[in-house]
Amino acid sequence: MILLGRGLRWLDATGGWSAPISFEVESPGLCALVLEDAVVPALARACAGLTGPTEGHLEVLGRVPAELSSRELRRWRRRMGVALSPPGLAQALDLTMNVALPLIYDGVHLHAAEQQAEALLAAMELLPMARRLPREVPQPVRRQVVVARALVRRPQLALLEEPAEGLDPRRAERLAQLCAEHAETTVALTSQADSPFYRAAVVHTTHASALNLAGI
Amino acid sequence: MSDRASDGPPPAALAVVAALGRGIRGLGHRYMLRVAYVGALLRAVTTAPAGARRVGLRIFARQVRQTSVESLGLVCLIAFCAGAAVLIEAQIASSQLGLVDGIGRILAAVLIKQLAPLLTAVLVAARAGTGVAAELATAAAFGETESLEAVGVEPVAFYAVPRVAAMGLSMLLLTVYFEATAVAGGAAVTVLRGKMTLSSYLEALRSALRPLDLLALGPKALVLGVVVGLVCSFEGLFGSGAVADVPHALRRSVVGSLSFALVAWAIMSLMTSGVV
Repeated sequence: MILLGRGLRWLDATGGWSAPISFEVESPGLCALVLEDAVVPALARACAGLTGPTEGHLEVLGRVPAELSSRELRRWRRRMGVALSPPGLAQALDLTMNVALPLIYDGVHLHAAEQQAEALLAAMELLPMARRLPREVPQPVRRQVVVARALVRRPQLALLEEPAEGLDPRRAERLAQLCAEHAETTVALTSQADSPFYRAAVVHTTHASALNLAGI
Repeated sequence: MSDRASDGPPPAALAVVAALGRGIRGLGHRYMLRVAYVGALLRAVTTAPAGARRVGLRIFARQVRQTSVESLGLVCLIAFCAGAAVLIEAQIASSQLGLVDGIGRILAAVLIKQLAPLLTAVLVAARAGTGVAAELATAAAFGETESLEAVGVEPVAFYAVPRVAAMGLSMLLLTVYFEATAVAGGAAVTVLRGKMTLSSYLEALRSALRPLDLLALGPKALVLGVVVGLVCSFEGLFGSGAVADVPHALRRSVVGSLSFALVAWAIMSLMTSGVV
């Protein structure tokens, strides 16, 4: 099982509970989970092992992130690529180095990692900006760079939070194509799947009670 | 059968005890986190791949440049004034007490051996330490740190290690500048007041300083820089992660780094002066 959620729900800032959600993603491909606004960031961070759900059971790539030790988490994260929103890039490094960072920390040689990062940025038509700092480029570019960083390891699962927000239709379609090329499975978490990014995706919309998927 | 609750302390006293307990527990937890943070930092230093070290080196170089260059003017100004002030007082005290070599001894003992590393640490904490804390607290508030953690890049390895190392080296460099400028401040007073010649001032200073005194200053400055870097990076990275917490992180970083630097300075001073 790639991704499994059972009765997941979170306490919000006002102390109320979100509606419980359940889902299963069991085959590779591009999938979109359309969720309530407040649930998108909470589920993305829980799937990345940064926080746990307040209630329910979550499995990602066969492991329960909340139960992993810090060493296990590091190893498990190497199989994944995560792009959170807002796009958090290291301000001290240029866009190429930002994309290359996961490879560098996996032990890939610096030069080889930079080359792979540049190839991905070129595929996104961002090569002219590759040596700029994050603060020197607009928000949609930063979002694309964060997705590139999630894809650079060619992960088993790319988990993208609102990947198409602010992108024009052409770039959104190209991004979806790159996700299909670089990741076995891409799961996009969004509150609205109206971008061309989701054209080829299996889109599942959650309502107040529950979301049930039988694979993609 | 008597009511147990009525036998106990009044609710107000209980509330005070409970608040005290919570405070102590919170403080203990924060100190345990600091210890764990140092452990994570050491682990990150020893396990970082070669490429990560080269990335860290770039951040390290940038931080050394920022810390040293940005603080240099202030350090030199204060060192010059301190050197001049100590020399004026030393000249007055020496003439009153009739101590021929008193001037050199006072300047060497007070300023060069003891106060130079401490004053430099205070300036570095106030100037560069707050910069580090603000940068890291902002990175945490805007999701940079969690974003990197989610792709397997440890924030402690990426953010803290190069900055703590840079603060150590910057402190060493700035302490050398401080001492040189303080000596220059003393020399300026000597020349302007004309109570003694420049050569006798330098000779008095030379006779009061042993080579071991100068050697001990290096590790002292390095340790104080690392302490300031550790506290400021910890407070920046491990706040609440909210934008509103950034000013509080700055306050905690200044108070914490000065407190820890003072304790470290006191211990090292006792050790180098032969008391411990």
